[in-house]
Amino acid sequence: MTVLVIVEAVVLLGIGLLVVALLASYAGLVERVNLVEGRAPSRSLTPPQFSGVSREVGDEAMTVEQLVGRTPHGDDVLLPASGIDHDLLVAFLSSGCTSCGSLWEDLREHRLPIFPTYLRLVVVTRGSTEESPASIAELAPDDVDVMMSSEVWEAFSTPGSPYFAYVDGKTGRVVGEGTALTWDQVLGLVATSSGDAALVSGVGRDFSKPRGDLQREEEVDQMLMQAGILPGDPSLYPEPVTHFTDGTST
Amino acid sequence: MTIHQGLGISVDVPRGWEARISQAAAQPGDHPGESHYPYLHLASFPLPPVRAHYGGGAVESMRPDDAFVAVLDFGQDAAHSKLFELKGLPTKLSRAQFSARQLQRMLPGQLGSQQFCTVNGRGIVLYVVLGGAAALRTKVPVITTILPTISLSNEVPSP
Repeated sequence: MTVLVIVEAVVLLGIGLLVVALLASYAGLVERVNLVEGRAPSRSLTPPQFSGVSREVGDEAMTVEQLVGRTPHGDDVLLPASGIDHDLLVAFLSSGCTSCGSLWEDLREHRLPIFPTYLRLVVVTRGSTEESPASIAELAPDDVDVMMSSEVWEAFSTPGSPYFAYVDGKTGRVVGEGTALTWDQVLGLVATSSGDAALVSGVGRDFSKPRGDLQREEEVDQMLMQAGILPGDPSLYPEPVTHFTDGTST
Repeated sequence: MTIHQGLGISVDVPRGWEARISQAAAQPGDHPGESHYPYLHLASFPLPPVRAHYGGGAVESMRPDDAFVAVLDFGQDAAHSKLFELKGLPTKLSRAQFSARQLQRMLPGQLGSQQFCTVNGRGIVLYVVLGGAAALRTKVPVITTILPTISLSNEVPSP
């Protein structure tokens, strides 16, 4: 009798595990379908990926004319964000967030990846009513543009820190935004937003290819990016398959 | 144009231009009575966070079509000197006012202009650097639209 109860319990446990696995699998499928169809995922188990898509405010993409704020040292600054010949990478950081710590440290230690020369990095913190200028001055290196402005923070509807926005300098359009925990991940945002895959793949921008190939490549890149697969993603580089003469393969 | 103001200085900034209003902090090695008045920097190119009053650290990266403008306050004592006898900030600049000899630091191809005047009883220097002759045609007209919008308050904040 005891053995029967134990066997039944094991069978029930197995069925329970099977149901849980099926539910998890179903949730994963739903999330992937949502991603492919461009809908927001129903849940987020990992930090959000860079969207690479302009934020829509009503029917129009968000545009920025300029960033206005005060440096931790008291300078009043107006930086243009449109009508210029370079793009802006706006990094929203704060003194208190744990994830920002290593980003600040890399800034101070000059441990940033090589950003393109057409890009200007501007760090924006909340204004002096919410952040201490002395604390920010201590965290920030002197040779990086750092601006304190809650207004800029609100204008971008920044959900928290760290957060990054890529602004096209010609038009002032926000063409990419998202969060990242390392500057290398930020480089991924830059690659996605600027369409400059060479930044992470190492392939030169001037590589000569037929126009049709370039167009197809661009379409595939867009589809992959919309599915959250950025340049350098391990899934793009599967293990090579070796075929043996006896018909087997690895 | 966008009005930018701070530390008693106000200016309309054209689209695509950068503006910074700064005030040097008192340093331990300063001479007794040394002044640290606010100053305005405007540029048609990205300014580095750290710059000297006359644009050192920034003008080196200028391209031929770039322009840099500095409005520097020399205080009330300077206003009494012959050098600053011109009343009011100049509102026009002509091509003839630019030459390499006007530069604080001569860099190949660059042109400069330096005007001394008195505004609200304070000695003021207007210093302009052009990256090259191309900016005479493209940027001097823009600067001419900016200059009348610059306003300097009577009250100067203490450093």
